[in-house]
Amino acid sequence: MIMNPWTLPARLDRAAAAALAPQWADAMPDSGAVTIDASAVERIGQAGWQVLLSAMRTAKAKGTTLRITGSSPAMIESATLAGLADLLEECT
Amino acid sequence: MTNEDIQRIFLQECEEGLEVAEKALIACRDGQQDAETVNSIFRAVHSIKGGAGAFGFGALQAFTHRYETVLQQVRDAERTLDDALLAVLLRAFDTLTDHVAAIRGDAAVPDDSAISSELDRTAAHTEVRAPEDVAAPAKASDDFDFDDLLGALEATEAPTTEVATTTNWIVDFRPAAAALLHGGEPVLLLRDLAALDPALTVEVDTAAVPKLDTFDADESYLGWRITLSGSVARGAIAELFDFLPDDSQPQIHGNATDILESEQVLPCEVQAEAEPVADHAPVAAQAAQPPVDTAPPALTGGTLANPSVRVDLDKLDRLVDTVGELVITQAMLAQRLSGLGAHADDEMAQLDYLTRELQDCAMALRAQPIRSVFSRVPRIVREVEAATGKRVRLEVEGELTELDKTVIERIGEPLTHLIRNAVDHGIELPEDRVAAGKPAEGRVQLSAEHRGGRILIQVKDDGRGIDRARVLAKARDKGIVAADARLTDEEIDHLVFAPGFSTATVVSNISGRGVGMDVVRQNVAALGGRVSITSTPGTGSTFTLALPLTLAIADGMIVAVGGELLVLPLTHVVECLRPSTADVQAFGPDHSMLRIRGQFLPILPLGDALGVSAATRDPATAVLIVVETEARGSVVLMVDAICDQRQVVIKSLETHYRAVEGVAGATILGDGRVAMIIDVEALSERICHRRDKQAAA
Repeated sequence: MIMNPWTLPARLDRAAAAALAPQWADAMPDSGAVTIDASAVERIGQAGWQVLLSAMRTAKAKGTTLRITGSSPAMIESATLAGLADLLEECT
Repeated sequence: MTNEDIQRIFLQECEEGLEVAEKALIACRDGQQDAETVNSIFRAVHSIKGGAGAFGFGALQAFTHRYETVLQQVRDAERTLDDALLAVLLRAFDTLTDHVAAIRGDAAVPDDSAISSELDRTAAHTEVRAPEDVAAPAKASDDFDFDDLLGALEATEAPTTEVATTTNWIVDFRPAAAALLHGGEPVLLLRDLAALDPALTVEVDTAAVPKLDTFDADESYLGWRITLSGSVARGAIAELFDFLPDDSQPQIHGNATDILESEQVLPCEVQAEAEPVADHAPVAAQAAQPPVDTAPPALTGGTLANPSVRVDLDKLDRLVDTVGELVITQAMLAQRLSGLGAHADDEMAQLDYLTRELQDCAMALRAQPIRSVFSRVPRIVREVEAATGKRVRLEVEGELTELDKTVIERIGEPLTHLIRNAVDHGIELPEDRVAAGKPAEGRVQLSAEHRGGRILIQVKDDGRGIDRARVLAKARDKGIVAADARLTDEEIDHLVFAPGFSTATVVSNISGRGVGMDVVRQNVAALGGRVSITSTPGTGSTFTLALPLTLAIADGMIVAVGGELLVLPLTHVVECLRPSTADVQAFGPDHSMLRIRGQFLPILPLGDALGVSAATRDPATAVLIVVETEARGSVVLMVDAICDQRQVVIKSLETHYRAVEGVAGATILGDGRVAMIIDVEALSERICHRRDKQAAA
């Protein structure tokens, strides 16, 4: 069982996404709020965004509020490049 | 291309974006609030945000994000664009301009805390889209926003109502799973695309992302639509995706809806169909024909090469300098040949023609539209409006009028002052205007035009006009004019340019510090220009700046004084004459006056002023040249003879020697001699001043 807030690793790549997805699927509560701490992220690409988007979608379906806090500069830069800055901002 | 180059391009695109946004905001304020106008503001701000993010300009990015949030609400018709909101948007726009200026290094990073919280408050007043709402079904809007598609059933459903008119490249990119495994990280590709066009827009399609329970980290769920400027070469875009497998290749096409299923991107595809298209035929009709059919004729000439070239200013200046030297050498050659009796008239005429052509071309390269200066004016007007409670409609004309870069750089300050003056002093308060039977909103017209080899810039207001009685009283009070002096209306109007003159009873930080108009005149005079006023009480005032087209070459009259040759700039010369003895009247032992058309004008011997002893001292045998000056009106310069009238290349004395009062510069004549160019204004002022002192003694 992982603790709230969920902490993102420095390198959120395909391997990290593959490891996080089943953990998060188990840990996602049926209501209430989940906070994801993004302050440590140094590298994030498509794979990382996909697992985050999947978490957002899962939370939404369950009626859980998902917040992403402390987005690192690398995270914000990647979000801007990928056209996801608005979505990130909405979850902040 | 270095990072600095890209950043410079980003800044240029910012400028362009700001210009578009400002025009659209003004159009909105004037009642034109259609979807396209609002959209153009949104797009401009959105593009700046994208570039700011890519370059790591955090403050700019954060601010544009706030701004964009409010704009998006307007665009999505979540709130109406009323006057209060427009005022906030305009203020935010000014702050955005400051942010861009800060990146350029022209200013400090602005304190945007007040306007930011105002934007936040504004945004909070409507229902901000929560993440849950983002999953609303896709709507056929006039702006394609993939965010809106999140959660929609059909991921590839594209809207069909897009009516775009701009020429952009649309890159639809949906990498396959294999691309991810082979290192084709889309975010890095997007960074490379941003390097090609820092103002690109990126829309992401997240609709295919599943919930965590069916999530597969090896799958690729995202798709992107990237819009890049049509000025980027298609080959350069395609090249970035070159190493991706076939099933991950993007579709690159002109503008939005003409997605040609069969179109495959080849890096070296340089045919006509690779043009960005500006128009949209229905998709069905288009599938059968290449998109070039729908492109306007102007675009079919091949846009892969950029239509413009950026040139370093130093190189340009060297070209202009060299052309100047060529003009001089050509004049020398002509003189030498005529001395030798060689008959080369045809060739010399041809050389003369070509040299002039080359000179015109070189000068045209330095010419820039005055728009860059005019574009700062709306903001100045808004600031003065806010500070004074006045209401002003600004009308701008002739923004594309071109003038020399140096003039453009130096005209900003005087123009700013004239605009502030027009709003602060010219335009009345709304209630006063209504009482005077005028519309509550004042009007300031700013225009620029070429006329007779000069540029005329006018600032015209429909305010109260110059209060001549007050101006005269003030001038007498300050000792600028003698208590018993009788002045014409025009002379009274020009008193506002006198040093130390100000009629403002309260010193404001807008204008009225008593130095402004004097400085305007000095600055304009330093550019070889002149400023004049016409004013009608109750109806308004017009300030006209007359400026030379270029500072590098001037038309000059070459005159002989003693053994020296001097150049008088033709702009000051009114007429030349040899007087009859009856027209010259002695005035005291040393001075004389010229009677011309019933007027007496002082005769100023140039030789005396410049210490040339061999000059003629008898006006009856000399040549008299009537010149116009700002400070002294018409005066007469006395010279020995007129030798020639021609274009001269102006060489700065300050650069090569030091500034000399009364001398505007130097030029090299055809025979290789150096001739001083007379600063008519300063020299006549000096002579007159000396005489005034003698008379007082």
